[in-house]
Amino acid sequence: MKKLAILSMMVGILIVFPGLLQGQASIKEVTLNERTIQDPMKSWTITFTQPINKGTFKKQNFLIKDEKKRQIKAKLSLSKDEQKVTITPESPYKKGITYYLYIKGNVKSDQNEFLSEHTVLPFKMETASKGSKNSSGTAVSSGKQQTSSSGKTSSSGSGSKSSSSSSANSSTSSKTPGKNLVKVQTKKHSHFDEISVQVSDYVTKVKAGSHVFEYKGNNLFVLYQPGLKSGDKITVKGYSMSGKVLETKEVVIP
Amino acid sequence: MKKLKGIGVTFILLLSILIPGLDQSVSAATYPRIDRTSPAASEQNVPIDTDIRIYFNSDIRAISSQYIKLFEKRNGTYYDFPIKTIKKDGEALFILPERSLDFNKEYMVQFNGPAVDLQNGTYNQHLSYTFQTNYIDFYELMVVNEGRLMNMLEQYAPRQIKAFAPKRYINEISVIHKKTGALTGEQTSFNGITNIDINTKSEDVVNVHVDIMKDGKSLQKGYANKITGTKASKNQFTFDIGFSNIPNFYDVKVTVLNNAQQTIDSKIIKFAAEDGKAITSFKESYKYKTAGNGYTFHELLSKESLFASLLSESLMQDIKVQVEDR
Repeated sequence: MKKLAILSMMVGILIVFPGLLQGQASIKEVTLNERTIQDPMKSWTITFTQPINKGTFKKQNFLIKDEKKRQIKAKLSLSKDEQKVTITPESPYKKGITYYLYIKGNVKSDQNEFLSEHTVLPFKMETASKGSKNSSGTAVSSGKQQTSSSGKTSSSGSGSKSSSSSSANSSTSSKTPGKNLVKVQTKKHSHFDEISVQVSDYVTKVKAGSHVFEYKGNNLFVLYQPGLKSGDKITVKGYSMSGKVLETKEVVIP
Repeated sequence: MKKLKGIGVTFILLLSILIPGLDQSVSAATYPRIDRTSPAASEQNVPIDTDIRIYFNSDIRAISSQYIKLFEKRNGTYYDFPIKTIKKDGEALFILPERSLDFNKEYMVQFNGPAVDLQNGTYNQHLSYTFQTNYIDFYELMVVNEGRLMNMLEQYAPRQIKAFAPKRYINEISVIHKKTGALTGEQTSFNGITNIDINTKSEDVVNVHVDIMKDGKSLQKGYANKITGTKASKNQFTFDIGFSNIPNFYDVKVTVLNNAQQTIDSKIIKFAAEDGKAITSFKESYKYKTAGNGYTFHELLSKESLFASLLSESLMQDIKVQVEDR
């Protein structure tokens, strides 16, 4: 009888302990709708409503796995305001494979508040190159994906909450990829490159570093930039009327 | 016989030594003439900031400016074009126009009397030749027809090809936009109101036209009114215009016109009323490094930041290219 009591206690401890050790393991996991991407080197930017606790800015909390649940090598970067985490793959995504971006609930705000859930964003490379052909059109070079958009994940069910920036806990923003910088194209001329950006109604200024894009009307901004070399990366930022960065995209010069 | 041959050879040698000298002294002593002009007669794409140089075959002693004229052709008639200075430097006569020449015009240089005293005499011939300030579109050269640029570079060195940025007149555009609705809960809702101020240089500016555009269509438009009186600034004009009930997202197209109702500057800005705010204000100021200036292709190629400024500050379609004669 005593033995039975000890055994059941041990089983109980075994069941309970993993949860205790992992702390957040018991919180729910929310899987967002699958996204289709075109850029094989697409980086994802997760925007939080508060600065995150730097101790939780680590690869265990922001990761990408393939469909066999193998973690792929990726680099992490944290914005100056500590509210944006960007995860960039070190090797290109393969077509037809579903990848999963994980934002673990272990992430804490600088006020030591945990996220309320684990967030998983499945995404897949577009199999046919129709999209890339369309996007290259006359401009972006031959089907290769030059633009690397910084998509933003959303934590399911809290989309409207987080977009209003009113949630107390750190949570991901609800902005969808390409919402504000709708289309970025580059075109090579003999003495300069032309970068054109189609934007949403909310973007009133577009910059690449200190270079300000010329507004052409109809939500189209254009920059003519000499001295760029093939492979150069240009970070394009779309600003709101109040000067807030609405979206950032990286363009690779073909 | 041998003696005769020797005399013959000596005579030929003497002639070959003496004749070039004789030729020079005869020509210098006989008549003053023009060796060349810059721009050359009938040149087509002369830069608007050119000076006019006439090279004589002898040093210039004195100039009689009253016999030297520069004309600009307008509507088929030549009109006097003001000359700032006429000066000499050795064999060269420099005619410096009072201001920059105009694009797409024909100019005539004329001597109608004893205009120049040279060391070898007075140049007293009637002289009249023309040149034109036609331009090539920078956009065409750089974007539409790059082959034309290649042809041009076969003919001219980059230092001879000049790009001119257009003058800019708009200093600042500011928009104050009130959405339709009440400002506070207790108030009655009222129409949206938008005020647009445009600050310009005073030089050449006569009218300012404003278009409110959405999806490429003009929603409302009108000429802005010049603010006069105490609020007017020196060397600047401020124009204002009001609109009602325009949407919260739109383009503002500002066009500045001169007294001939020609567009001399324009700008499109994008406006987006901010969420959660009844009134949104927006101001954009413009400062230009390159406006109104000319740069040789050599300068642009050797200074990347200058090239970038030229491209970012002006619409490529407004940049004009001309070539300098050597």
